[in-house]
Amino acid sequence: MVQAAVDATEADLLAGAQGGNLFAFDEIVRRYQRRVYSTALRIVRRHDLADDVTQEAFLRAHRALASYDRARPFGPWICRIAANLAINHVRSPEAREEALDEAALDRLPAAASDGPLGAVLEKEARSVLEDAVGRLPAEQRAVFVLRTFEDLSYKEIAEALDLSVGTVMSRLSRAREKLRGALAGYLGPALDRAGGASR
Amino acid sequence: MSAHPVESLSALLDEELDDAERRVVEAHLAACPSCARHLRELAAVDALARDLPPAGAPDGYLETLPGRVRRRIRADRPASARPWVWPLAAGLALAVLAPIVLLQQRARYSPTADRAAIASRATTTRAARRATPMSPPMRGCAIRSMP
Repeated sequence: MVQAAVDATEADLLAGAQGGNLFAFDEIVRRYQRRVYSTALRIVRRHDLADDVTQEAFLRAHRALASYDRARPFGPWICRIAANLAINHVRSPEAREEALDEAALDRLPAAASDGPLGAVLEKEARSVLEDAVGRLPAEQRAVFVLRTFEDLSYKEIAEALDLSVGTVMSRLSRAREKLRGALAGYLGPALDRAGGASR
Repeated sequence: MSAHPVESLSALLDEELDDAERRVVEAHLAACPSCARHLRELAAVDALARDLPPAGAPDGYLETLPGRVRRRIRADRPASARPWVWPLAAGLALAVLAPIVLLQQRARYSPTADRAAIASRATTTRAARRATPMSPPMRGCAIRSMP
């Protein structure tokens, strides 16, 4: 039964989970846990809180399975649940934000080096960018995470976080301006080089 | 030249402007090298951010997560979803209450308890008789009924 769950398609797994099959839901958790945890950690910035959010997101998804429309993709749906929980965590009075710990930063795997920045600068820029994302106000960070890492539209973000589309637009713009400011030392030379090379 | 449409640059990047807004911003960009560069910088930030790997989890964390989620789901299920809960609860209650009731019954009807109860009742009756002598009408009644 467990092997059958591992081999099943997502639609089969969701149908099984809706029918009460816990092995099927286990497999769904396995397939999405990294993505959900990552979304949560990018917003709450602490492993213990991200763990709480991740477990709670799957629990709520399981409770809502009966009304879940299988025609909708599961990934964005569960990530929206996680983002909502994460932002509530961050907003709660008892939540104390801490910067992403060094151990978590060390766990980040190496990124591809064929981006717009030179390979040498990119590693350093990544670290600066991670740090700058962590220092964004929670509301801006949640919008930025859902747009950049989950690729949600403004309308989807607005629905997920119970905001107007205009608020999403302005928060995202402010978040990007802050990140642009943090990366100014890396962007200027890179763009100048790109401009020089293209001439 | 119109004011720099900073907020719209981000939305342009995301293709979230409607046609009319997009035309206005693009016309501005064509005439404003500063905003054009600003847009390129935002695009570079966006590309770099999208290239960031998923935030890492501690070793072993993801291996244990499905099990922990499963336990929480089981604990979260309402009793109606677990048909064995009520029979089990009834069985446990019976197992606890039956010996107590049985012991009480045995104590109430045991010979020792009976003798103690009879002795107690006799003592009480004798004491009551000594404290209350026969009343006059009762005595008269007794005399008249004699042959």
